[in-house]
Amino acid sequence: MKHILVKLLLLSTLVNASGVLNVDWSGVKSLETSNSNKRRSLGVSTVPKELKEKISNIEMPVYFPKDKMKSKNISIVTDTNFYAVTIKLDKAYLMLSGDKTYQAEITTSQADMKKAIESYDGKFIVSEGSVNIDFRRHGVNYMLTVECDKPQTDKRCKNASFLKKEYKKLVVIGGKR
Amino acid sequence: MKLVVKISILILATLFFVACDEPKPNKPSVSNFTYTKAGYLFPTNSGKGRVGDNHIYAKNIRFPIEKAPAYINSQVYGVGGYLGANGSLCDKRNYQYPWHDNYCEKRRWGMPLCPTGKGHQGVDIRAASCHKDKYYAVAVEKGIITKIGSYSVYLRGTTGRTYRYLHLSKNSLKVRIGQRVSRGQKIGLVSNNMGSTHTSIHLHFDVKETLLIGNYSQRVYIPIYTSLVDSYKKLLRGRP
Repeated sequence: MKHILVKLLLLSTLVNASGVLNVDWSGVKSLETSNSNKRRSLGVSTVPKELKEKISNIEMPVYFPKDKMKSKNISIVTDTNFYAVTIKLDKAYLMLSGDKTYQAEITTSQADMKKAIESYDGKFIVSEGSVNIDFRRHGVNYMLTVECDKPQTDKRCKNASFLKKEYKKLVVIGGKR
Repeated sequence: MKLVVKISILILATLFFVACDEPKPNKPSVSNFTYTKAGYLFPTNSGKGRVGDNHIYAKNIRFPIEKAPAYINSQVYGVGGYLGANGSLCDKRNYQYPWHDNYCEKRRWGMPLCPTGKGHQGVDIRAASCHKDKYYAVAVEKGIITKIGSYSVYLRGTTGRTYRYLHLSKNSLKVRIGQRVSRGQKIGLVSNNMGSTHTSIHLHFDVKETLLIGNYSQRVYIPIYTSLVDSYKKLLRGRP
């Protein structure tokens, strides 16, 4: 079965055609527009002004860990089509990015290729020295990663427990429609 | 006084033999450069690669190490590697052509484009010789540095691809988060940094891009070996 899948994967035609994905804003509940009751239920306050300004140009839902909005160790790089966040933790880095571009189009009707790629969506991957998850929401793509200074001994990088907790803390804090 | 002279001679002799024992870099020219095809992993027990996929996914990137020669081969299964033949990581067999693809080399974590569904996300590249903090990794395309971790640097190119450089010496980094870089601009020195622990001296380089199938998209690590072969030839021709 695997051999068939591989052959099918290789037979698909790949076209280097780049573009921007359409964001599906339906169902996006931004913290920015939530009332105080909603925010209270999420256990968060308002988005700090400085952070709000930094994300103001991003044309996609901006996810952010709800308990780290006031952290002083945040670096953010933004553009209209992507954002990347690095939060310095104690002896580790939590990294988050969102991207609404695509670089290649697979011109195939194969369900198998799609299936192989879909199977990767939302999976926690414990790799060499880091743990990450790629997930697709609202038609665009996000990635959350933890990388440790001491990957061989730091529990945060040895299994997915820590990142799962961080993933659950993600809330939409803004995004330009 | 005689003792000082004797010690000096001993040190000089030792340095001479050490220098002689170092692998001599191949003369960097296209005619000397050889490589095996994409997907053919070496040694053969190191995993199943994407045989038959010779597509150049990242066209026109610059080779990620500033100067030739450089060697793509396995760190894990190479001489001196964790699962490789006995010997030193600096063994000259690790510093010679042909190149061998190691994208999809055996790993325990998920990789959607690997035949087994698991594998190495990118390729490992050795610089010209077995010296850490000597050779620069450079930007493969114009872009912006988006993230820097314990031992990683992320460059987002203007194409939208994300290039990840691992194991550079942190003290040598020439870039900071948010900095715009031009193609070929120095990023940092190839080293063995893995946070507070060490790995072998090499650059792990991987590339993520979003593939669109119908109306479904997913950001994945793409096969990068063919793109590196292409870019390396350009580097050897003096047109990086």
